[in-house]
Amino acid sequence: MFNRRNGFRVGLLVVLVLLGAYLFVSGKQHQMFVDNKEIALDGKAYPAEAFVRVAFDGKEPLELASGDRDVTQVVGPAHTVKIEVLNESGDVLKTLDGDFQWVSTPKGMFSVPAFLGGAPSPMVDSPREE
Amino acid sequence: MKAYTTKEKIQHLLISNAVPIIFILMSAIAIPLSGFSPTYLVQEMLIRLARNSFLVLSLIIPILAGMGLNFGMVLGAMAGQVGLILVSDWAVVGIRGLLLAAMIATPIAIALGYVCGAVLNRAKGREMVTSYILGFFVNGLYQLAVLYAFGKVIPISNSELVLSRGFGIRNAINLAGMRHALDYLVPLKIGNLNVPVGTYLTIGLFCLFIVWFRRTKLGQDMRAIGQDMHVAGAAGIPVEKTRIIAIIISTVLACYGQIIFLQNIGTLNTYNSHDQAGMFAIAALLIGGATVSKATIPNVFLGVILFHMMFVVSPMAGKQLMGQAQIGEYFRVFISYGIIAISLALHAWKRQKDRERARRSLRGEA
Repeated sequence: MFNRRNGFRVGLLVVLVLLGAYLFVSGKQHQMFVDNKEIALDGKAYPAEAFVRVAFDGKEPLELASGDRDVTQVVGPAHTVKIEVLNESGDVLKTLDGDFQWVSTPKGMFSVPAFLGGAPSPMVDSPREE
Repeated sequence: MKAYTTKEKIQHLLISNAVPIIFILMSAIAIPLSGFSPTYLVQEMLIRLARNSFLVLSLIIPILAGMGLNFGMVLGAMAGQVGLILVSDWAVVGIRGLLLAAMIATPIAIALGYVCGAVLNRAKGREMVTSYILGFFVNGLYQLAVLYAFGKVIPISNSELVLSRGFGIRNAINLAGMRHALDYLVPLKIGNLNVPVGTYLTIGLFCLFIVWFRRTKLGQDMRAIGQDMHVAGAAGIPVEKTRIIAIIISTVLACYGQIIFLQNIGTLNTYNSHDQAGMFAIAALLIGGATVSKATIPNVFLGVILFHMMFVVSPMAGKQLMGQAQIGEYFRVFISYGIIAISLALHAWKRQKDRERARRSLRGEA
């Protein structure tokens, strides 16, 4: 029988399921590769920088030379990134801040050249599917 | 009405608070012997108070309902662990991971609490021993589920969690992604002391809940049942239903307590973490001056501080006195669990005396 009490119960259940889904999506930790290799996307080439310092979500930065690849952990679907392009003596030449969305595990690699070159999404095919 | 003298009042105070007084005296002797600095002891107590208080507080409601010490709280602890295992597999971290674990564990804890309450209704007057044995029974089911169902029936994708044979959960699970997620949700450092503010706020809310709950209709019903089940039944209170609700609340809260406990520790010992949860919580509550029939919020905090103070200082005190840390540890175990036995025996003795007194008063003067 659908009365007010049962309606409230069903509503509560729906809210709890939605809350669970939100917690799952926003709290999920992803392993993300960070790549500083030249890449071609949709026919356009994005060259690698000689040295970059990359920090995700304000955390400890990673330092990558041209051709380097590293791995980090990010939590949730939306992220901020700060990339500093360095010269050989370690001086900052250019700083770029921005944000990006986690797409999926198969697209689990962040391409620094694609981000710096203004590609539609810096997330590219991961070298290893989890 | 007879007016009590000061001597009688002091005597009554000493007798009714004998257990905490003994532990305060023991701590007063053991602390200087241990040689620990005050800063270290305060930091340890801050951490341990945050870690254990929620679990101990979960025992108050069944005592209110006259069901004694809920040894069945390990059922809730197991439910909490199931939630944490699943969340670890899904790699949900931080406070969101803890909340999701609590959400997953809640229906399991409610179901287990219902079963426990229904069983205890068939064992009125013997709730403590029944819930203790029920804990062993459900522990068997938990081990069966964790050893065989996880990885076979319930999919587990994280190879770090699964035994090498392909199913069953490993003995230890690293909760690094959730460690201190609640404790340091609101970071606060006073000098060298890290204060787990997040957990204290949660515990504070829980204390407010208990204070509020006691004043509700359900809380008053529980108190009436705790005083006399038959009178409460005759007054129209649904005794069995209320007792089941008391156990369900306790089991669910124990489930949250275990999640808080494990996020503080940072490691889940799949097959053992829940084992001692009930015994430690009950020992702490009794050391705080609670009895089988009466427990208050101050009993919880005093008990946790005294019990864990002995945990910290007794090995070092034993080493200083006897040259062996183990002697101090044996002494602590002997005293702490002896307290449970003495409290239970005293409660049984007091109940028997009360019954005799009631019989004598019915008979009248000879």
